[in-house]
Amino acid sequence: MSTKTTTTLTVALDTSDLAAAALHRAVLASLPQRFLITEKQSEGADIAVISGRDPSWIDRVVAAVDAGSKGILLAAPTAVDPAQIRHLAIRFAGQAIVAVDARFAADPTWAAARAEIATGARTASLVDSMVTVEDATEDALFGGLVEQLAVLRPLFESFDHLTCVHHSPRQLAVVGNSGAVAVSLTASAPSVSGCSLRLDVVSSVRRWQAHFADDALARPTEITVYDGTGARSRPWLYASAHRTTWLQLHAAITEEASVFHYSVADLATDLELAHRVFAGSATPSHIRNWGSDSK
Amino acid sequence: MSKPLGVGIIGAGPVTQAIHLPTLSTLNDRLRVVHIMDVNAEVGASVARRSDARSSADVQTLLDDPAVEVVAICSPGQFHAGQVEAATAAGKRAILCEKPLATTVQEAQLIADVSTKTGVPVVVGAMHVYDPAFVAVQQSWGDLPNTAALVRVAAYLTHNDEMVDLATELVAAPPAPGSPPDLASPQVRASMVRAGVLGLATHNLPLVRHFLSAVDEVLAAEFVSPFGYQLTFRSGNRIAQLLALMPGQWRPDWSLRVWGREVELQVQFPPSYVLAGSATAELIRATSRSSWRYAHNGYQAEWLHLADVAEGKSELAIGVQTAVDDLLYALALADGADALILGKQS
Repeated sequence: MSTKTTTTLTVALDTSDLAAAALHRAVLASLPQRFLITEKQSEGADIAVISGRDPSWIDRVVAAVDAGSKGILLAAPTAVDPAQIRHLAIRFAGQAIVAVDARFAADPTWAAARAEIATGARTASLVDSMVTVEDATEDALFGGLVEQLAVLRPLFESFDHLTCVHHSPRQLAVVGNSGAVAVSLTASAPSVSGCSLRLDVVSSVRRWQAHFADDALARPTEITVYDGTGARSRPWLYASAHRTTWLQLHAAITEEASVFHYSVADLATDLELAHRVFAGSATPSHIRNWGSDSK
Repeated sequence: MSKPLGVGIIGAGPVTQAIHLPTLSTLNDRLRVVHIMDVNAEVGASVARRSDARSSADVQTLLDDPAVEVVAICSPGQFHAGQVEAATAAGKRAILCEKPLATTVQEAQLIADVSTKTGVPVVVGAMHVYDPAFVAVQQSWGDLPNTAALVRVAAYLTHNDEMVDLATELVAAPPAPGSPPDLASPQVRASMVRAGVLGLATHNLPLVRHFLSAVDEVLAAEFVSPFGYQLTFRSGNRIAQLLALMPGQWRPDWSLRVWGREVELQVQFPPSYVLAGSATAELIRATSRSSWRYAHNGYQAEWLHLADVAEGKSELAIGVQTAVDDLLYALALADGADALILGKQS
């Protein structure tokens, strides 16, 4: 039981995206002291959930902030335009907090392991990532690519020759390098075993395996390192990236502690990168140096 | 119970010592090693002593031995065609030919032709093809071969020597490696990937061929240091991805995964050499999971099948022409990878 006085923030869900609304209603049920869902639309709510799937999402963000919302949770973020995201971050700096709902990159188990894996990844031989997404649509496959970049990009300083080598209605395959590390990213849809992201970071000395399963809200992400001494797994944490992001958004609004595992700037960078890879499937994309705003 | 079939083995190298002799020791009621031939007479004699078998230093002596009823050809690939031809001419009841079946298409076709002409069955060494779990799961995978959209094989393996040391006490250690390869050279990288395709990926390509019938286009090919590859190829709109790295100091992980419309297949193979049982095969449907796992591994199943075929108890499950086609498939992949790495293809 929490003894500390906690500020309760009201939340207006996005009823234009029923899947996102249902998801966040369930997530917020685990944080009843911090958040209270209001059935009023964004006007007057402390936080507005806005789905990136709605073409007018940016106007709705503006309207919500103008109406007094202190925070925005951008759901389904892979559907948005990166330029608009950057514009949004600048426009609302100091006025409202914009959080990104990233189901894999913001995962708390991953966030805790990321620095260690990044150290190993730079001397790895092979990094292989595979995501299964909900639908056999171009948007879903593109979203899967963005989600993989969101997980992988913090591991590397740059990618070289990241190239889409296959793009069909059901698959997307991207290969490239980061220095001497061979990188493979695959998105596939749909899967009978549910949405998930599997990542292998393999060097001769150590092999990391991460499995993010999104078939249930609090399915633990499994991260295991294998080496000559055996295998060690990160503790299982029955908490989703969604819940973690809500906690961080609460802290950002009430304590001015803005430490998101995955930021708006990260999203903009990953979207730009994904668009370049996606658009340039015939010619190699030479992508280097993320720039200072990626962290 | 009938008398065990007499086995003659051509080539007494690590594969014979670490795979076939330990495997045959578990099937002693069906197959018994009676003769081992190696060009190094001393090695051949030492290895033969372990099985209380005769030894010789030339193929014809082994083939002339009337106790040899079935022949295992475990020599380097370039000798396979001639030795299969000689064994069929000697009237042996069945032949096990280790992979690769041959080093050229012509040699492979010669093997198929002599087997057909003489009626002597040839089983091609392919442990994953004969793996009991993989064989069993095929009965339940329904239309997966028609609906598979993506196939992935990952082979993250330890050093072969580690497994060999666990499987046997090797007579005559392999020669020390030469100078390290110049990996800056595309030719060297291409030749390493070719070696990976024909030496390692070849275990799984016949399995992949269930789902991607042809290598239409190699989309990506890269050598992965210290030894491995990253390969993507296409058959129509379906893709296969092959990833490998060895040696690693970690637990080996050798898997095949296939994504179909209503079912997914996951197969986890044990490493080569050791008698670690079959793979674990799992079929995943929306509301159920079924799995298969057996005590015997693919080598044991392969030898038992050979014994059944030699004794007329069973028809050859996988014809030699299928093995030739498997080789052509592997060569198409290796050639496509060559072209990509050497920049012959835009």
